[in-house]
Amino acid sequence: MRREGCLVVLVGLLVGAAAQQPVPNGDRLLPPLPPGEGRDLVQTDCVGCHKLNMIFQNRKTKAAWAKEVNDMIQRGAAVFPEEIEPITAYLSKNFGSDMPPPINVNTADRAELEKLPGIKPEMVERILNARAKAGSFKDPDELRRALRLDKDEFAKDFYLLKYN
Amino acid sequence: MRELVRSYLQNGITRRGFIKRMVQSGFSVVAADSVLAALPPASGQAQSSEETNPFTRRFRGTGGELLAEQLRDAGVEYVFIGNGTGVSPLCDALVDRPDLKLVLAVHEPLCVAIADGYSRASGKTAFTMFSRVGVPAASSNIYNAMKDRSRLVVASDRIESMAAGRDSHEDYDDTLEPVKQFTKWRWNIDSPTRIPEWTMKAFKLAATPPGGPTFLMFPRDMLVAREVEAEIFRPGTFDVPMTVRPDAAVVEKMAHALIQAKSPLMLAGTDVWRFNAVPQVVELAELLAIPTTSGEEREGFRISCNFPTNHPLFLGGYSSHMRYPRSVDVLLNMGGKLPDPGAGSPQIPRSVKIVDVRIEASDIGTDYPLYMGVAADVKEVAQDLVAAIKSMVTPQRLKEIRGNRLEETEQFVARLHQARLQAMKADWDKVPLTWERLTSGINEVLERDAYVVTEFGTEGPKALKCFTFAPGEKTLIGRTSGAALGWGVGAATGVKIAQPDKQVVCLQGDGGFMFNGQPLALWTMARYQIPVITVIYNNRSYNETRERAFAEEGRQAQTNKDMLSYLGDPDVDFIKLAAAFSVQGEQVTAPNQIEPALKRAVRAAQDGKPFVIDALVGRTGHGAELASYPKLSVAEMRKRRV
Repeated sequence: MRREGCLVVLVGLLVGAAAQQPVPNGDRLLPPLPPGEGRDLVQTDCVGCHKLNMIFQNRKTKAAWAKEVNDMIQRGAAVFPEEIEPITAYLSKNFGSDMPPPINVNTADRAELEKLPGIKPEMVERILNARAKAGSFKDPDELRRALRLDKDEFAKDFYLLKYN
Repeated sequence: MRELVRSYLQNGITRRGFIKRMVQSGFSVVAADSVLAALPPASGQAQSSEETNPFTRRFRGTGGELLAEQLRDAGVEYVFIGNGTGVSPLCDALVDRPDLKLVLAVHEPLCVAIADGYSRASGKTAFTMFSRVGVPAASSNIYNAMKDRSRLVVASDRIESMAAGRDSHEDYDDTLEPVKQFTKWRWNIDSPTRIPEWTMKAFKLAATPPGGPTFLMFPRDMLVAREVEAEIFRPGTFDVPMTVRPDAAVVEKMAHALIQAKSPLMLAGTDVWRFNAVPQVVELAELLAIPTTSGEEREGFRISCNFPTNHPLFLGGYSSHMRYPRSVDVLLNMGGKLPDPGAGSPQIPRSVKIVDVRIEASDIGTDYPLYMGVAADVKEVAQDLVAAIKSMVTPQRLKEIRGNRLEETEQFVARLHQARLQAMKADWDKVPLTWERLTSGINEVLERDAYVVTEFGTEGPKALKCFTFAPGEKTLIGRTSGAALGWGVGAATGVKIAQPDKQVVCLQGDGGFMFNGQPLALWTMARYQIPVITVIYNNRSYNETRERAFAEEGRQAQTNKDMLSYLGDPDVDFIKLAAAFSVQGEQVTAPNQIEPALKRAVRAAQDGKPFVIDALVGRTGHGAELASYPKLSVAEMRKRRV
């Protein structure tokens, strides 16, 4: 009984700590992960072993992401049993096989940018205008500031862009 | 012979003189020794000064015999040898010295790998010798040995001194340069009378912590020289015990840091294994309930068991973002390499007080700013720390310091284990086999205290987690931290020679198996009846290479083309390959085949026969589904069908 109590407190502390202290992506060229249930777990658990570009560059079905998550756990990712499903669901929703591959914001034409889910034609226009003015964007933060977006809004719709 | 015996008994000649004359009369040294053993002591024979000298003894013979005599007194039991005319004088000497057992390997990298495995499993310094032209080929495993500080004396012949430096037959300039980076010390023998001295020095330097390979090169005229008289250094006269204890004030400062730490973490490194310090380090961890990690494991390069993997305080591999414990304030490194600082933010945050304890003083303080650097033996440090902490705080205070750390760690690890089991079961019955399914099956069949020799890439941690490595449980040897492929099967051969009464299994990736002529290690196993069970994890891929390459997002990843890593076509039949060496084997393709195949392998080993299992496992990670490569057909390029 005492051990179970400790466990609940421990898990609560760990998840709480993860939510309050998101760790860096490990690469300034990478955008922030989009919001949603499972984001903090992905951000905390995955970067223990590798950079998040291994997620950003992949598109998989839910079954394939489940296999990937299982594989990572076998390798030593610090994931608890009840976190497997939220992590898998988050990855398959945001990096599913129906999502476009990473789009280079510095070279993409209008048609490519319009493939980005959640981005309306007016925003595509703003991106193209900002790019024409800036020449290119060296990282996500530069684009975000050029578009005058807040961090949450930017994280939600712009995570499929790449900058190199 | 009768005259000789009479002369000996009447003090006309010494023991050495008796043996010498017997040999001159055509008897072997062994035969002469037997005759002497059967004789009563020579009455009134005064002991010569040589016989009363406890440090050296004189010997007269060929250069090869001098080398053999010094090997004897260095405690060598096995001479791991590769083919070459230049090693013949040593082989001549071995004819009459059956206590020096010759083991032939048919490729120089294997000579080194076998010697390396023998050294790691026996704790002794191993000796190997081969042809000078084999040195470049052997260098990859000499490099592996250097990275792991293995106790090896590697030797080769060289062209005669008078012909050296002329780009002559099988000669090259600067002959020691090829091994310079991978050896602690190296020497070209240029005086036959000093063969024992330099051999002794090579053994001394290889064995003195931190160990590492040394290299001797014997010009042919050195070993064939006759009637050379020299001193042989007796056993124990060149051992340098390295029980280095830290100063009491240093221990007190370390103890204080650990007592004050709110969230300490211990890293158990390879010095713990090298100094047989597992019990002492465990006692220290338990005293303060310090969660403990193994720094190398996450990369799959853990080379030994430094902390019991079934201990409730053992976390597994180190991560720069440890989920537990959070906010580490003191990291006690007991004898391991600190995590590579990397190119970005350091793997250990700057806020952490690092106490770095290692025997290899030159490596301390080179990667991270330290709170304390301590060059000492981890066993001594652990013992002293336990005593110091107990003297500094009351039992009640110790209890308060420990708090719930043990329970927290245990529960954290249990949760991870639960997730791992859940993840493992998801593909439990899949074909091709998962690494964890295959390894779990192997674990079920092996004896509890088997030796497990591994050479895996990034899949390694998945397999290693299926075993318990601890005193009384399984012993882990490998992968090398150098990671030059082509070591595992050779090393397992040496491990079995060192531990003939233990079950030895070699877990080897297929890519690594095809490096360095590793299949040829089966020849040595077959000839000398070395019953190792070799399991080839065959995914027909350099899986690690592909994963890393695709992670870089280069053209291969962009175009989804695997240019390098697919190893199918041809799909190598490793069982036929084993059969060519008269080694039994069978292929395993499905989960229900694992146990019966392993049991047959175990029975073969019990009968003294090596066995190979070719297990088809799945590829994982980016590009795993790709079974293609850039095509090229020279046959189709031809204009003539010749």
